[in-house]
Amino acid sequence: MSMQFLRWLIVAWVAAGGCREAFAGGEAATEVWSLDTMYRFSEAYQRALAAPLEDRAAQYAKAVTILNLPTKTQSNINDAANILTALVTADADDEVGVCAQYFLGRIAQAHNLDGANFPKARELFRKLYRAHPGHSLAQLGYVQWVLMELYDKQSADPLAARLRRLEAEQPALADREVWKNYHLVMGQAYMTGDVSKPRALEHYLLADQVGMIRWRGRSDFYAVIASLARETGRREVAVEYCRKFLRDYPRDQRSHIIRQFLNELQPNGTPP
Amino acid sequence: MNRDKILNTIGFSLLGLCFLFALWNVAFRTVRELEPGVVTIRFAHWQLEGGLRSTFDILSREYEKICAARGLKVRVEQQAIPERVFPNWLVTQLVGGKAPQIIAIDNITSGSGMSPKGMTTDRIARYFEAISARVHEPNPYNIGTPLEGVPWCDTFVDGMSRSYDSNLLDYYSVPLSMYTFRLFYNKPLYREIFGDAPPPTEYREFLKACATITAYGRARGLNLVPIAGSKYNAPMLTDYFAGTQTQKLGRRLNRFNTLVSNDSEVMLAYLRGEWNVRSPEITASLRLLQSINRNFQPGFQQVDRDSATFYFVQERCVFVSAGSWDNTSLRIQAPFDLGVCHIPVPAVSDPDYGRFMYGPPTEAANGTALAFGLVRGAARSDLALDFLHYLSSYHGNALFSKHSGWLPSVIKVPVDETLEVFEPVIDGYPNAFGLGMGTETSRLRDNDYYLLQAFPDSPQKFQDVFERNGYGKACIGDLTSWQTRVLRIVTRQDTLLAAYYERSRDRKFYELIEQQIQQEQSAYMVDSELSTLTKENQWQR
Repeated sequence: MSMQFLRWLIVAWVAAGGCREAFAGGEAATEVWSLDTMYRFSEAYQRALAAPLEDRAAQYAKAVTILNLPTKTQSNINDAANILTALVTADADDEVGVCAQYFLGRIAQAHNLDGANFPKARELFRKLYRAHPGHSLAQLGYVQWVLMELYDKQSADPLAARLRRLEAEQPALADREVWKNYHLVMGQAYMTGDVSKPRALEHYLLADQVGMIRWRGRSDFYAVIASLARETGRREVAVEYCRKFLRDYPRDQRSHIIRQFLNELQPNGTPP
Repeated sequence: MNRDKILNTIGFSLLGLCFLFALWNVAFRTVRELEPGVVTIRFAHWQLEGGLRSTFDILSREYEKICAARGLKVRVEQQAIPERVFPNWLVTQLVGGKAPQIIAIDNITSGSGMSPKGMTTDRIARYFEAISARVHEPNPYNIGTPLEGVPWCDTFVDGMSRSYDSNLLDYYSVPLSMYTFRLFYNKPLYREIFGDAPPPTEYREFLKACATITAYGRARGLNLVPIAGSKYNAPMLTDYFAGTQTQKLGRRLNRFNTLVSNDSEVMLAYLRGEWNVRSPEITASLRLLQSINRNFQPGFQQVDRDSATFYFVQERCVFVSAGSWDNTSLRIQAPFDLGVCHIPVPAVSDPDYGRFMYGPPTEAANGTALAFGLVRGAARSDLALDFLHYLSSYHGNALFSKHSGWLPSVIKVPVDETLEVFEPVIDGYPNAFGLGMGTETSRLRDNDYYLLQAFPDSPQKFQDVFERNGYGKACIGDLTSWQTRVLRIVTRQDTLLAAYYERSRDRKFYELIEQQIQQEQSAYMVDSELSTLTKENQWQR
């Protein structure tokens, strides 16, 4: 056996070992996510602990799982943030790095037990969206940023001014589902302070170009559009959504009211 | 032998007999389960109402016959667990890995995130099998029926919407019935007092009937009152009446145009001063409630459900309000012919109460009930699912309804003539809110409730004390707890969101985003508004 052949054998053996490890690591992350979807967070965490430290996917899965470990403690949240920060520091632009940045934003926004840090969360989401505007989670981060801008308790601007400013941004959210949620958020915000019902309706109609997924949420959505359109004089839209509502939710507790709306809107039973 | 020794011997003998009986029972079941070639399907529930267990036995035997015809030896056993011990039993069985294949699941509605029967989102996720992949396929037992080829979920009156867990984004249960609330009456007694007159259909007629019953009892020296009440069923009846009075107010306060009243919207509106405890609608609802309360037996608030039933079957009152689930129990217990009518709410033309309402309340939101879930990883879960298919099939559900006297959950299933009165009223208007909208507001209402009884001619005393005791503060407390709870759910969803994103970025991922964003926005909105109201020094948080 020549030295050359032996060398190749060693290289092949090392490569195979690496592949096996990488494969095991990928498997670990998949298993962790699978356990997470069954609310088996402690078992998921134990599984993630066994994964090698260099497996970025498994480390990311571990950090996100820690956020739901019972009992929720600030120390756990700090551990999760530290793992995510290390992942971002190593590579902020790969898939794991982008996802880790999103969850660092979420920790600042919602998870910290000693209080939310909205300015930090806003900064993180803004930065993430600017760096990766095409990534779904970066776009979702943008919607979270919009939420925090709208309901910022420290802001001196009235809600109407904030809405105008945000609308002027005209974000290019390529993920249609995220884009839909942006319009739902804006529509609801226009309704919050009774800022503008016609503008709220416009946003809701844009959102409906994609459509609501949740069955129950969709019934509210149709009822809101039908009644808003009726109030703002958009007769055709009101009729269309009354019909949609009655078609999909004939046994809803509002179906009688919606039927009355429809009768008012087309007294002779004819479409407008 | 002295008396003590005899008593001790009898006591120990009885104990020994009970032990032997339990031992025999367990051993017999174990031996039966070991019978070769026989598959045992066990299902558990807490419904001990009359007629239901025998109905499940009939359905079980029918299913065994169907399996036998297919060459399968199947034995179906039901386990009826008393309601009070069900939560503990459930945990023990699930954790111990000894749970039956099928267990009844109730809705998680309480603020603690746990259903009255001990079900939590965690437990459902961990121990129950999602059946989402099956609900869009037709039920095989519907072949040759009017529901042949219809997706399983579309064969239920509510499209299985209550079976869907909005946190877990999956279907987990199969409902067999649906509930409505009615007024039961003693037919012969009613006839004796009113002759051939039909039961009341409207509030004024009902009040008049109550007055006549009281006068009739007094004139004959009878201990007779119009309605049997308890802390369980009286609030159901009075809330139903009172809810009619806030129909219009609820719509006015509905800022988000969903056309149905929302508790957080209503509480915020209270804090903004858009309504108060002295608003005409609230005064009317309290007066309406007092007028009904006067017709219950004295001390009704202290007694439980069984005592009210006892009072009714002893013919010491003419009416009792109960759910459709009590229909068979009452018929079994009552030694007289039973009549059932709708709750006689005020008419829109009513001079005092009509102006605050749009019309009779709808029952379209009642949805389905008596739902069963499949335990994850249980032996022969394929057969357990098949049994659920059978129970919820056109024929299975018809048989269930016929023998139990409960409403079916499946569409197009013929309803027995005696059950027609229980069918939900779909047309009508949603009833709106009452004063108790969360833990704090309900506690305050319950604490001061006695004032409505103590001063039955006017709600003014109650209103004075209620506002003084801090209804606004209670609203803030309930809004804050609601917001905290929502944010806790939202943060919990983050791990799932990441998991769904990594797994497939499919419908579940986007559905969760839709839900999370909407919940988070509602929580932020409440927080922001509470903050503004506090800044303006109107309220202290």
